[in-house]
Amino acid sequence: MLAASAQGAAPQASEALLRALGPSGQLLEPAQGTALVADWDACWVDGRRIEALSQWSALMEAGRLADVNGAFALACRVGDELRLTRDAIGERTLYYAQLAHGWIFASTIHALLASGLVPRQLNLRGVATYLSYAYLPGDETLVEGVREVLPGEVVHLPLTGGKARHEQFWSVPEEVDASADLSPAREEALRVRLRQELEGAVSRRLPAGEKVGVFLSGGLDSSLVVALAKRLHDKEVITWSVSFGPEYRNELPFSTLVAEHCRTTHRVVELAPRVILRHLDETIALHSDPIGDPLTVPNSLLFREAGAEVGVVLNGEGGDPCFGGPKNLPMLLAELYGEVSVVDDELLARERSYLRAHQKCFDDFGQALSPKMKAAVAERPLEATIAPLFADPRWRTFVGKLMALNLFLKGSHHILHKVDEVSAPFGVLPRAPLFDRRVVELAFELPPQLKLKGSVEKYLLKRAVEDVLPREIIDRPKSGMLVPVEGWFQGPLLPEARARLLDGLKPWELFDRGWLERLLSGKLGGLRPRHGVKIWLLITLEAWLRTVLAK
Amino acid sequence: MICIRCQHDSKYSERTGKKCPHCGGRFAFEPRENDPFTDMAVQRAIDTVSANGQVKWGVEHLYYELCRRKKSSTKGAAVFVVLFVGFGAGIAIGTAAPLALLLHVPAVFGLLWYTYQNVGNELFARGAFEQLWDRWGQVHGKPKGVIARRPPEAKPARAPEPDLGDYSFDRAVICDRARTVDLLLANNFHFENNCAVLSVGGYPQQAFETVRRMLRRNPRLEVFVLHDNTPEGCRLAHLLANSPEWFKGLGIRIVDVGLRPLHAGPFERLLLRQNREVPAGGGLSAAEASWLSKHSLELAVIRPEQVLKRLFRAMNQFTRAVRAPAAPRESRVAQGRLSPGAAAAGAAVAGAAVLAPTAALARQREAEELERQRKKNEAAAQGGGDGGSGASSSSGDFEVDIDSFSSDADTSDGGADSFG
Repeated sequence: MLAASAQGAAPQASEALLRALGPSGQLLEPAQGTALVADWDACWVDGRRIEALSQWSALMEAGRLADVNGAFALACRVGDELRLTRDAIGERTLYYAQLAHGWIFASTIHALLASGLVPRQLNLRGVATYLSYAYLPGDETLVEGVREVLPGEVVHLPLTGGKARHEQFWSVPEEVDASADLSPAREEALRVRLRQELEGAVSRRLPAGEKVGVFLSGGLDSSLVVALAKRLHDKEVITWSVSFGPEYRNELPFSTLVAEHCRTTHRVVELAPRVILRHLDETIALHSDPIGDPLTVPNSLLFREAGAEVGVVLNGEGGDPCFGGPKNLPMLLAELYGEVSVVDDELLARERSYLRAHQKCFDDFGQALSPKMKAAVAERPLEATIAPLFADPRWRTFVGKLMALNLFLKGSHHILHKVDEVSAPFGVLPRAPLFDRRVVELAFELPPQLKLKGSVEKYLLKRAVEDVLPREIIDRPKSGMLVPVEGWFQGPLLPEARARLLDGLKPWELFDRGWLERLLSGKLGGLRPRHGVKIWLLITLEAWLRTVLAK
Repeated sequence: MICIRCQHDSKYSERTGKKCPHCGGRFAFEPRENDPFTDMAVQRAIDTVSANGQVKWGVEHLYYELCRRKKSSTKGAAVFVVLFVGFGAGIAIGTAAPLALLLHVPAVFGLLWYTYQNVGNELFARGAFEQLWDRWGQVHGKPKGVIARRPPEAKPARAPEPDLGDYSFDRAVICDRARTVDLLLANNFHFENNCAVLSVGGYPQQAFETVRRMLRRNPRLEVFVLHDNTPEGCRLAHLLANSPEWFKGLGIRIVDVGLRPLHAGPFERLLLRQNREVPAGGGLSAAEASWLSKHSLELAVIRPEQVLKRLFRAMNQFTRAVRAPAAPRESRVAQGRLSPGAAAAGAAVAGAAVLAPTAALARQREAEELERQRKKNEAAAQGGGDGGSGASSSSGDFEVDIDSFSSDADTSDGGADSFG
């Protein structure tokens, strides 16, 4: 955890920053001889693990950050400039803000706010972004004036005044050739390479001489990480799965099948609705920006559980954005058909589809938002923000574009963020082999037709691991990790949701009260109203506003 | 008559020039001058077909909604007259010759039945509806949510992506007419349910050949056929299964979820009378051919929301049946709630239980069994009906969803959960 405040700022501000970061906090203080601070985990360069801070100075000076594979955030003072940087894929992060006399940065927004130097002011347009994605993509945050460093970016902050300058040392690789060779021989060569890279990525993340944990949902991605970890690790592999109680649907048959097949020590953690509720506020209070994914609390509770037994937990995050997971086919359909009826702005149709594909509140704006929120959105519609990404000529195929967007937006601002934040308090290091930089780079070298083959999602990834997993896991259709939010909010958690949404959100004047009432009573109408998902999204927002912004 | 703009209720004598005396807004209709509906009645019909603005709809849906509404008022009045006259006559006869009541009472009941079956059943004439629709548009503007198809000559906004046609889909809905395709696309059914939608006649033109080629590439494809209750519609599933341009010889599963004669019951008053030769075969049974020679019934008689929800449900039920997960073997299930290793860590999360996987699975199976029994009991208590059981019958090269359609909106949503 890193931080520094403006030159000339009161010493109390620095103390507050450091206190907010907890025991692992490091302060950048060039005057005290600390001209570089780094927060890193499982970083490799030239085939060797990075062990010492001095290695980072050398890498920075030699301009070799692009050669590093692993999770890191660095901050350093070079001459009249403060430089902030974040790893290529976005496993660690940094936030910064401009002050009257300089800059302030930290690993968390909590620390920036605790310094007393950043006003606790809500970014209204950011709320609309959050309601569409369930997270904050790009450098926008929910606090007015605070930006986030992008993955693979160096931000140069001039200490003598002036604007930030952005330099990209890594980005999602360009797509090679749209009419790629799809011969069986090439497919086989790519399959072998992918398997090698996957094994390398898992190996690089195994803790030498210690037990390792893996979170196992029973889907393809986490299952393949379990299978490879078991084969490559010489110590015990412990797997954890979640159940929400026998009255709700779950994936236990699949996760148990994998655990038995791979002979891991397997645990099922059963989380009843009251347990979720008890740990709700403390989990959401960990987020720098709210993440409205119902898995945050279960994830955090798993880390807490795992922390008692292991120091490193692997997960299967990353398989979807890199290898052709769900949401590509609906986007393809939207692209093929276009708009059937007459619409005002046909040019942004696919951007709208992309926002819609997140299945959150994008289509509810007309009825859900308060007048002041509507005004904030009208200034710059959300579609316009992602239009440049769709138009980027580096990704030539449609599926290639979607993969790049998902990696850039969701990977670094939702998935990796989430596991980083909810694991931190429990002293556990989360590691995501499928987000390994070499794996990601190979993923973008693969022709999209081998990721999405016909209607088979993640085709080549499945082929690369079919010998180590039960057939049922390879063949099962994608279901996503099921969280029974619909059941929770029609039953045990509804009274709590009513109080939080109707009373808790009221002073912020973000929503139309009638819409909130309809949402809570399950009467939004339409074909797939998804009441539970939206209630969870708003509960998260309310708890974040209360525990992080307004604290 | 109530104004739809300001809700003011005015008398005929208060209205001049078809204007509301309160807000001055124009009325489209004046029942006192022989218009069949009030503005408020049409507005309510629009609210119903659009599920209060939540669903996109076609003009044909409004037509049938108005047919339903027109029928009920005429029929109600006729039934009332028969009852009133019959009762009056009954009193007169009862005082004069009480024994004659033995004939009179059954005769009144017979007449009531005849009236109920036959009066007020004539469909609202299409021409009259067109005029009504035009006038509504002139006065109130085109209603929100009505599907207006984009002109086919409209150019694509940008060049197509090079790889678009390289993939495939697991599900497709094939319709007998373009307007049904419009209904599904305008409501984003394709996007929400990950399925292609085409009409047999080649609509939508810009995507048709590409999408059909993509579909033919997938041996696991499931095709759902949605159609009017007409000879062509009812033969569609058979045609798709046997046409080399479609799915002949590809071993693809085809489920007919459209309207067939067996579904016509609840819509008797909306049938279109026909008089034609319809040969059996080609996907039609003799009984169906005979019914179709005298009648037909458009899919548009069903409110859009119900069409979409029923299709959604049918799709999930038929698909789920194929993909049920395999349960782990019973012999490996051990006893005991907490595994020894987990007991030590069991206290980490306040209130959470750490279970041995076998115990968790056993609990899961118990709960599933309870749920199955609960559903069974519920079904028994309701005596069947339109419970959406996903029943089907097989007709050789395709299956038919035989669950009944109802004329009222079905509200089940399958309780979709979050896919975090």
